Amino acid sequence: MSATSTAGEGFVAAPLGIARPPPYYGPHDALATGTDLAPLVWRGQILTVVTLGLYRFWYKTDLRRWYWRNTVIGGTTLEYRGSAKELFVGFLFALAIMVPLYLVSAYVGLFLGENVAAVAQALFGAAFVFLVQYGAFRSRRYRLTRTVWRGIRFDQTGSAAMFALKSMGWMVLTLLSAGILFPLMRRALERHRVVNTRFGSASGAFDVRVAPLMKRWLLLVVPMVVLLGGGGIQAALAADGLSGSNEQIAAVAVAILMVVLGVLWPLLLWPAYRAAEFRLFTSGTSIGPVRFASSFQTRRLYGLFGKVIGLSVVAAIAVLLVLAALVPAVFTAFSAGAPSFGMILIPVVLYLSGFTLFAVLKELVFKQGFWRHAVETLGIENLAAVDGIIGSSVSPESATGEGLADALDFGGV
Amino acid sequence: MRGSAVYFDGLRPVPRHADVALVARGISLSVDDGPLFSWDYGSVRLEEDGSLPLRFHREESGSHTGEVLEINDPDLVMALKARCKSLGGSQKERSRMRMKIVGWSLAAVVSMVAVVLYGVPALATRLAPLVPWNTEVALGNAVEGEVLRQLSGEASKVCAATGDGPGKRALQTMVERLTRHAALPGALDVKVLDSSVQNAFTLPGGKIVFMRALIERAEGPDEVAGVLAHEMGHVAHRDAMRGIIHAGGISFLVGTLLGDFTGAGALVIGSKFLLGSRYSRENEAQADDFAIEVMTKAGGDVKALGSFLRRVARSPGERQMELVLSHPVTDDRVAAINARAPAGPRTPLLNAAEWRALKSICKDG
Repeated sequence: MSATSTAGEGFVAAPLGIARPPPYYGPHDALATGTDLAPLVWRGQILTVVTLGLYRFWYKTDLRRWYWRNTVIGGTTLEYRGSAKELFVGFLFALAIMVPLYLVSAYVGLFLGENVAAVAQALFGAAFVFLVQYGAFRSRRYRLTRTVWRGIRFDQTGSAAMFALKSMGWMVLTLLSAGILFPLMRRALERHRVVNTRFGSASGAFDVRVAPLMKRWLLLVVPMVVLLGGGGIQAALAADGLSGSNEQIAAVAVAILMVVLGVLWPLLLWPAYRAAEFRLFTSGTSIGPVRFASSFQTRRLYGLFGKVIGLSVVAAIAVLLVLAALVPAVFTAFSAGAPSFGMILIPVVLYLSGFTLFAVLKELVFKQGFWRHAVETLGIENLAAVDGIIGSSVSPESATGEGLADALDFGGV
Repeated sequence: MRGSAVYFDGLRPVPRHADVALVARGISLSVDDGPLFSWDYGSVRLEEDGSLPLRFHREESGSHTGEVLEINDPDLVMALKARCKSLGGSQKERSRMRMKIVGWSLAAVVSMVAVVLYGVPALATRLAPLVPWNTEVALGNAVEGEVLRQLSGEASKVCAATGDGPGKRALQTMVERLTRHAALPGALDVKVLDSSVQNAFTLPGGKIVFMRALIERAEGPDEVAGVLAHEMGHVAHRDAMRGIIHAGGISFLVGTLLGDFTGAGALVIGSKFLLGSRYSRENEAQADDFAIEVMTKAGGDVKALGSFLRRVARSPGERQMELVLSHPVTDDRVAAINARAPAGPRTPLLNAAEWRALKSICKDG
């Protein structure tokens, strides 16, 4: 695969005395195995919908077990030791934090007058952003402390509150710079995550130059800002004095075109940026003596996005066809003044099946595809040196952060 | 039974060869040809059954020792499974666990549905009268701001908001003549919005909102007065407050307790619509009763409400749908109104000049 594969071969040839090396011990540094994810995803997603979301903790845990079990590094698969029960308890803890916050914010918004409410809403907004970041960092710690490789646990040090403050500071800076500083923010936050990563006695280190990333980002953001800003100015100028002349219509058309291009351009370039970022960040990461490298291909990410979008369109058409077939029945029920239950039920069932289809597609096609390619293009240097690492007895993190992340509605593998 | 496995000691990430023998008491191990040691069968745990290699752990007084035995030999795995009683992690055990989770979740869903269908409405009915009127007014102000923001454009303009034009005076007169006979929890705040939608609705805190088109559609003052009296019924019964507690309770239950997994949002909206229409039907009848009583006492024409609602409902065009959807007009309902209308001549609630002024309230400066 790459020049870095010697470490993996070195491991296989190492004098371990394993009489019959298991078949999964290959020449790769990292290997993605397993093809049987579909039944797990279908079952998990459908049960999640049927149980109004309560099953998601078990589904998430099953998914992680699968991904971890099928990620082979230097001949040994990763092991996920988290349990759904922990996630559920974490969710309950998160509720204890979020419910009073929601209630207080609703009360302030309704009863304390507009000025107080405006200030309070801003404060609550900041608190929510803080909690999202706080939860994300602690959620990562939860996952790492449940990840075991060759009998040794991962861990994450550092304060989640500091991480949250840091990311909020960077968000403000990025906003003030009209988005230009985005790659610097991403790098700073990734560094914070990586240098706090531990594997036994080994710590993570992060060394990434921002220039190659900045180049790609500017290619994305500068035309976007120019097109959107230019479109806005053009629209303002064109709208000045409604004469309805041909020139004015043309000017408005140009403004609309600029705005549309300004929206499409970043969407079109985002996968290229994202793939480059993934390569650079991975290649700049090391844990103890072990260095990583990634040759993740940009066109593979475009392919994944294309596949998901294409299949979603197909799924949407299928759902719409079913709807079209059902419309006459719905209308008869409506005009006959029949109980409106069916009228409500059909759209709900359609929505949920559409939602389920999309979630399944996202997991099976996009996430699995991303993971598979990321693992297969992962190079690991100096893996033999892990022998010198000593396991540390870390106290496992509770799942409260994960619960917060869940309650604030954003996922993570 | 003998075989080989990979052993991790939990101290260093180094895979080591282990010769394994299954003896009477447990697994006898020799790592890298070192001295023999053993794992009790009772202490062996399996995290997850599935494809090979399988990983076995050792537990000591309930906690993981950190040691891992990775076995890739199907015969050895089978023999080991047969000897360990409390291995855990088997597919059968996991699927039993799964059934348990699904079963209990479904039970939770059923009880949630019961709470949503019966608990929350009952709670809303009991709680609404307990909310202090001041609080309801404050809530009404917030809701009104939100409603006006959502309507936007011409529809959000309040007619005769300031000043004291003839239209506004006529409206005031009508309100006063009706409120004299009505027991209300607080002062009313009746507004007309410059909208071409034929509708009227009540917000919390005694806020009654008429749309201009509905007043224009009316053929006499008692038709408007009938609708006003009906909306006053909603104020008296605190239906808007009840509706807010009801809707808020459902959102809170589904949205927060279960966590929004994106699907729940739609369910909330759907159930709100379904329950909302069901909820208001009996309230509509109560508000009608209130309107009949007040109109009778005020001396107006009670039948005007029924015929007006029917006329608005029957008129073509979709603009009327809103009124019909929020105030379902049925023949039963109109018949019920007419049946209770007192006999004898009635006096309109506004005289001809006042009625003309009310009709053109949105043209007042």
